[in-house]
Amino acid sequence: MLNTFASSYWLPEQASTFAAKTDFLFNAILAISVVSFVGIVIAMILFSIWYRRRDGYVQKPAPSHSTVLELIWTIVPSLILVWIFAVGASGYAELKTPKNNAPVIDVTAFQFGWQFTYPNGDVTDTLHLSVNQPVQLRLKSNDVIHSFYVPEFRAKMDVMPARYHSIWFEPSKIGEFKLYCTEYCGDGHSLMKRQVVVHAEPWDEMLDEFVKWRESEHPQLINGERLYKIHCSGCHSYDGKDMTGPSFQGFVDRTHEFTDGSSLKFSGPEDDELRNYITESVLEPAKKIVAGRTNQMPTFQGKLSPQQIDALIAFVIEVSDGVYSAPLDEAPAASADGAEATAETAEPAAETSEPAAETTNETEEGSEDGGQ
Amino acid sequence: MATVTQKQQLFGHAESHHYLDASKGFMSWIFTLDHKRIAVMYMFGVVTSLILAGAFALVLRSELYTPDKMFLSEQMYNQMFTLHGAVMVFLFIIPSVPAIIGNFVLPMMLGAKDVAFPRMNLASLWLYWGGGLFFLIVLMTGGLDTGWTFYTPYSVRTSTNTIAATLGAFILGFSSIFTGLNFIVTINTMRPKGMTWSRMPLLLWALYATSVIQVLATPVLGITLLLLIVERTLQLGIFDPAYGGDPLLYQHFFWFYSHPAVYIMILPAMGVISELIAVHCRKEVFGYRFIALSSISIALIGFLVWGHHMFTSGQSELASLVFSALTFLVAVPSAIKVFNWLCTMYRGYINLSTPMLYAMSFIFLFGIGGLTGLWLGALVTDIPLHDTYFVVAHFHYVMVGGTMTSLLGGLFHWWPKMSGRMYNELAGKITCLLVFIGFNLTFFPQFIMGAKGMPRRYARYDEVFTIYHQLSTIGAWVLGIGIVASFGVLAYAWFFGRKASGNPWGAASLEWQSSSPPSFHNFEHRVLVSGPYDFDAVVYDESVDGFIPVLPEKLAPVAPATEPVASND
Repeated sequence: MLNTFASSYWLPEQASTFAAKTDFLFNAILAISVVSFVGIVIAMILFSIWYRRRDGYVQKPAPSHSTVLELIWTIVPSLILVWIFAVGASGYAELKTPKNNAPVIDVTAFQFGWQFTYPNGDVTDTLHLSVNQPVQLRLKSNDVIHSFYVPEFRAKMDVMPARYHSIWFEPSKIGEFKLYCTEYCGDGHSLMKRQVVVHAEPWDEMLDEFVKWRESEHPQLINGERLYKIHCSGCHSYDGKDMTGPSFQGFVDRTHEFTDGSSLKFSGPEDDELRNYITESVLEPAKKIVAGRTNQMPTFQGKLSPQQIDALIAFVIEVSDGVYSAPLDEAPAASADGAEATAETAEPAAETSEPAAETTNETEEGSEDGGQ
Repeated sequence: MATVTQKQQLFGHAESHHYLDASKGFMSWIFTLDHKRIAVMYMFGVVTSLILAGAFALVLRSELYTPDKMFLSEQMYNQMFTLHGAVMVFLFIIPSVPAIIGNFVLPMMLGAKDVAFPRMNLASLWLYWGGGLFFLIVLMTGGLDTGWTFYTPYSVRTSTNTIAATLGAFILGFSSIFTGLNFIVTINTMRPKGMTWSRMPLLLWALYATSVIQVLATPVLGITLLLLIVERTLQLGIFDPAYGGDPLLYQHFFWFYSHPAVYIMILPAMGVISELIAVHCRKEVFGYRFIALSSISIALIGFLVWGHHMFTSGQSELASLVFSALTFLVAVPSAIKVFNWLCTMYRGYINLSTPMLYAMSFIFLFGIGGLTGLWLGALVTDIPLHDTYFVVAHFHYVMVGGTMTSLLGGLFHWWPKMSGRMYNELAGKITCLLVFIGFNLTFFPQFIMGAKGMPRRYARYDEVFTIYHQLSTIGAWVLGIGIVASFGVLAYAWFFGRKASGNPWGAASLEWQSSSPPSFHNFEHRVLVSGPYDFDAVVYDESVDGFIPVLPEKLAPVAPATEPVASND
């Protein structure tokens, strides 16, 4: 009773096997606290009414100490505290004991985003999981401390630079959840969120349908959009929204001014300077810093191949008008398209010319308005 | 027998020849060695810091009224919460009760003329100004965005002025150490004849315990901050993994000070509450020995629980288990205090004055703050709650709900002594109510959104949390108005209040055996040591409109006012 009431009001949905146990202790402490707090406050209010200074009130003598009372209110709370500690510790032990053979997902946090590398070597910006499949996440940061937090899983772990931490859990509910960064990490801290999708498909099938990505099977622009989401979207918008980095809206047309006083203006989307500038920014971000900003961008030297940078350039040119129009994904029906049809969120048939700014799945639906 | 004029001079309201008019001019203040003037000057600094940091809080709470950007960029928001936290912690809460109330009251409670080292006391005030100056420099030179905790490696890499801020905190640390050392020596060596350890007012026990922490823990903060500065300038590889350092090491260092610092904030507050409840209930504190010892045990156990700030940091599981267990150990003495305060109210003669209302609101707010600590001390429930608004609400309930209400309550209580004037009781009660309502409205919704998963230090948030943020923002404004109004009531009383006698409350501790305001030498007669809560030792005297000590026959008449006993300076 109390449990259901309290969880529905106070707590997020229970979406992992830890949640029930954690919530049990949460609610038990809530009950203990409410009872003792109400008792204290009622006593305080009654005393302040009964014994307040007023005409005709005579103070009666009262003892100034009582060893029995002191012992009672030392020992009784102590016993309760021991119980709380023990329940908390046993739950924690479970939290810290990974299930055998749980597949490992490598999680890299950076200012300001996350990326997930699956056992098959593929990378996504959304965390894809299978229901009832325990997973272990191996966390690592590229820069400062971040923290991995999914409220519905009751799971949290700090992500450190130069140090691996692992966390495991077993999702128990199909659906979409939010991943937050909960260790303050700089300007974009509050924007450092990602989607967590728990699928109904079993693990291997899920990987095949939602995670596997062969760049050769997709048009350059779709590869570019995917890379943008994984690597750039934490700091750069393309709809003009000001984030940690400048927006890509108007990238081709505007004059780029830098802190050293120099500036760049491109003749059009085919200007070689534009390609050079983007390549340089990706590989050596500190070289040209946009006026009015500080350099917060990490280098992607060794992380992105020349083909991937080309794909990103194609994407930046495409979104320079502030809108992303996805091309038809010419992939063979067997891979990405087939997967989309079964995904519970996607409704590819109805999608038309303007898939607005935000798309949650990293594979783009088959809209007909090609951007190229 | 003492004549009426003598009584008036010794125990009544002092029109002149008090510490405020003992000498005149700016220099007579900034070079004073008088603990009372130092306390008053501390008050100006501390209240200014409170208003400044409170203004930062209102700015950031206003920004959070809507989920998206209203007027602060993310960078500005981060600066606001950093400066709010840093100024509140280092310039307001840590010095607040010890430096204002402690400095003013501690020597007088001992019947002494001053603290043991008056020059060191002045030095601590100057260091406080010096540290504050560095924070001003930070404000003028691009601010600070590390959070008040200065976590590495972010604090090593940010372009904001970490060095000035850490230097400021470093200097403020020395100020804190000087005060602590002074109090320890004063209490050890200057207790009057007849005041044994077990006959000391509980505020002195609390200040003593606090001072022990200040002296032992603050050097660790100093070392940590110096190492941070070295890391930033020389990149030795202590805390930043890019140079081979370890960020977890920084967290251990930082919390080794900063957790005990929580007790630097709350212990003196608890001491004040013990005094307020005893005096305004006109009843000996229940379980004196247990309250006194609980202060000491909180101070000692407080050194051993720092790791509970790091349950999700990746410290070893064994360490987390041990720290969790030790954390629950601290809960016991805190609970003992609350129960004893309640029992003190039982069959009391309760004067529902402003200080008493603050004491009651302390019990209420500290009750919530303490109990919510149970969720955070238990390992499995801490994991989802860590670094969410639940934690923000928890420590505000303890630190603001605890320390600030006790500071305000204490100021109202000792205001007649400090200023020689009574505040307006009705206005005091109304502002107390405003503070209480505003505080709960600000911070209670934060428990709910924290439990629901709202992370802290977020400039933008998901729409589901909007209603809680809006309640909280409205509450913050009410709280802000309440605090400003309380200080308004006090300031008005300082100049225009009704004249207060030496002991308007009928308190039995020694500071009330002086005129209001006290003379430069505090006492113009030999103090009469009774039990600190022996309220039969004072009796109402109409001629001074206040309470005077009952003179045992052999001591009367008191020494004449013209020949101060305590002064041989």
